[in-house]
Amino acid sequence: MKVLKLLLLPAMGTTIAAAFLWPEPAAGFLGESSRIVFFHVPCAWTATVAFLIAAAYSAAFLLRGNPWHDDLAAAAVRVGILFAALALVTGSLFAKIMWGSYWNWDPRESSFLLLLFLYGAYLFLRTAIEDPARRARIAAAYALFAAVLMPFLVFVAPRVTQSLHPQTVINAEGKVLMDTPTKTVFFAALVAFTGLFLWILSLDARSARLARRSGGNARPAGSVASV
Amino acid sequence: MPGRPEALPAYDSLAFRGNDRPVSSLAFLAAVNLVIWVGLFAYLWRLDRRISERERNP
Repeated sequence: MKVLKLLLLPAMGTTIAAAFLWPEPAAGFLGESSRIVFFHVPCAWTATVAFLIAAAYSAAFLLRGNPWHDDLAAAAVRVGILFAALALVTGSLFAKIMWGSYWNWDPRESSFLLLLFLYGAYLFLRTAIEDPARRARIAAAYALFAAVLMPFLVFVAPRVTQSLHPQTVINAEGKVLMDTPTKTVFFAALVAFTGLFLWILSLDARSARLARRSGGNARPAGSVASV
Repeated sequence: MPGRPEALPAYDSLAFRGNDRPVSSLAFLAAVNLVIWVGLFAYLWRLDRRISERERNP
């Protein structure tokens, strides 16, 4: 595991440098704005993976009652919200360059904002319940409910109506319309961001487990900064 | 009255010139992002070590 974490340093570093310096900017985009795809899409992808992981660990908690699964589910939601917010911020920067405004109420912007609210409510729910066992059960049920809505908000709602958002990476024909340098950097970024997410997830969940073992509600929000 | 140029050169708000050598704004952005990444990595590495120590000696 330590080797994988160490490998992330050159992997992400190379990806960042390549994202700015290797591929040519894509046709049809203003200036260098298309390069945001190397950061924006991996953030959105990581957030989606995080919310799916939260649903999986929530189901595992409801089935087995292991509090470690609840720690992992809560950590996945917290880190997922972080990456979803980064996806929204990078998307807004792109929107300002391409469409002239940071926020346009585009279906994809709006649905992703709703996703953020949906999982933000999960964190509010956790902080509102005192009893740890009850909190874990209700939060797990809510995470499963949110996971049912999540694919609709990420994949269906933005495609139902006309959107300014560029064509998604994997389009309706299932083809990735990128040249080789762009494709290489893009998939490297997906792997690097997923690795970064898994590392932060592990840190947050382990920190939550320590807090739980050392006094239960000592750190209800589960912030890694309190370790 | 001096004549105006027909077209202005492309404006690059992040262009940096030192010793008369233009440094690309993309290289500058890449460098800034790399510094941020190395800082984040160092923070996470330190946090990982502290959590591991607490797990060994609760």
